[in-house]
Amino acid sequence: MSKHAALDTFGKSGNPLIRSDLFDKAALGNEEVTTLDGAVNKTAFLLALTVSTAAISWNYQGPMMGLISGIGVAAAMISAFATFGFWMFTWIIKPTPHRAPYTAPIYAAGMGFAIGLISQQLESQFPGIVIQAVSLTFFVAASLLLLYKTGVIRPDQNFLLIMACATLGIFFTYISNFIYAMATGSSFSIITDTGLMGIGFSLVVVVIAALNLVLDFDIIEQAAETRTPKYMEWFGAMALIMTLIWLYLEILRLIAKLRS
Amino acid sequence: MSTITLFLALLGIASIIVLFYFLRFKASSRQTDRDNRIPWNKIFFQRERYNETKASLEKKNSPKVSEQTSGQDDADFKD
Repeated sequence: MSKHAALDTFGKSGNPLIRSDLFDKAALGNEEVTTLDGAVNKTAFLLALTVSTAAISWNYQGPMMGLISGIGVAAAMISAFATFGFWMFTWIIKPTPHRAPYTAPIYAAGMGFAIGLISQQLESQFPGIVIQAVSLTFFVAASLLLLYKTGVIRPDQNFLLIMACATLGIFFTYISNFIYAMATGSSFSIITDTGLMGIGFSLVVVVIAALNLVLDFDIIEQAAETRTPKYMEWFGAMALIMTLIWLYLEILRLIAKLRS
Repeated sequence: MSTITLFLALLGIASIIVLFYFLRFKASSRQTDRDNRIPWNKIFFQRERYNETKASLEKKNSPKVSEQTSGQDDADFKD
């Protein structure tokens, strides 16, 4: 008779937890699932990569660097769409988080080149603007993190819907502006205007970009809680870096408008 | 370097430390223990969940030939 007589008689366990795939996933070691530490380390790595490439384009100006920055931005955009798709409209392009370990470094490095170029040009016009913009970006991010961790800001589906609509609205405004600028050679006055309207627009965009950080913190938090696969660390870190870069560029633009 | 730039630089360094330090901590129960959280898993793992469910249903519906033991004979119906 078999040693596992009970199993032979009654079959496999009826306990849904033991039967389900969830048990197998939970039984994996910590190396296999997303952790907060892992997401933080990857965010730090991506940030260091962005700063490194930004330093290169800051120090070596010229037409060649302009071309490299252009290629960098194009590669970053392709990487972002390849990973996130249009997650608000998942039926158009589905998000593919498993690509994040490959696309996140490309995005960080590519955007770094563009950031260095833009920052250097604005720094020559408004000395000290880069330090101010970087400091304010991290101050806003740290403040929102504390508000999120303590539960003061609690994102729900309505918050997600509002943020998705607002972000998409800004995205289409910038795309329309880009097409308009390519066709006519001038851009929308609301974006470039240094008057009250332009400053107001930049302020609204900064607030929306900042609130997007809350969604990124929630992605990382839930990925660690639900023991998702390891690549979600890269995905969360990429989302956070994307929003930080966006926030930095908008704060840079806002300060430039205020100082001009 | 102006005073405001120096102040902002110090604020920035402190903010970076705070950001990377507190990001490692789990959020409070006020944040995590609630029903109206955003279902990120549903959004990002929609395709994986669909494939898993489809595969498990196919497995469930397929005939279980392997479970038939060799000792069991087919029923022999005689008139």
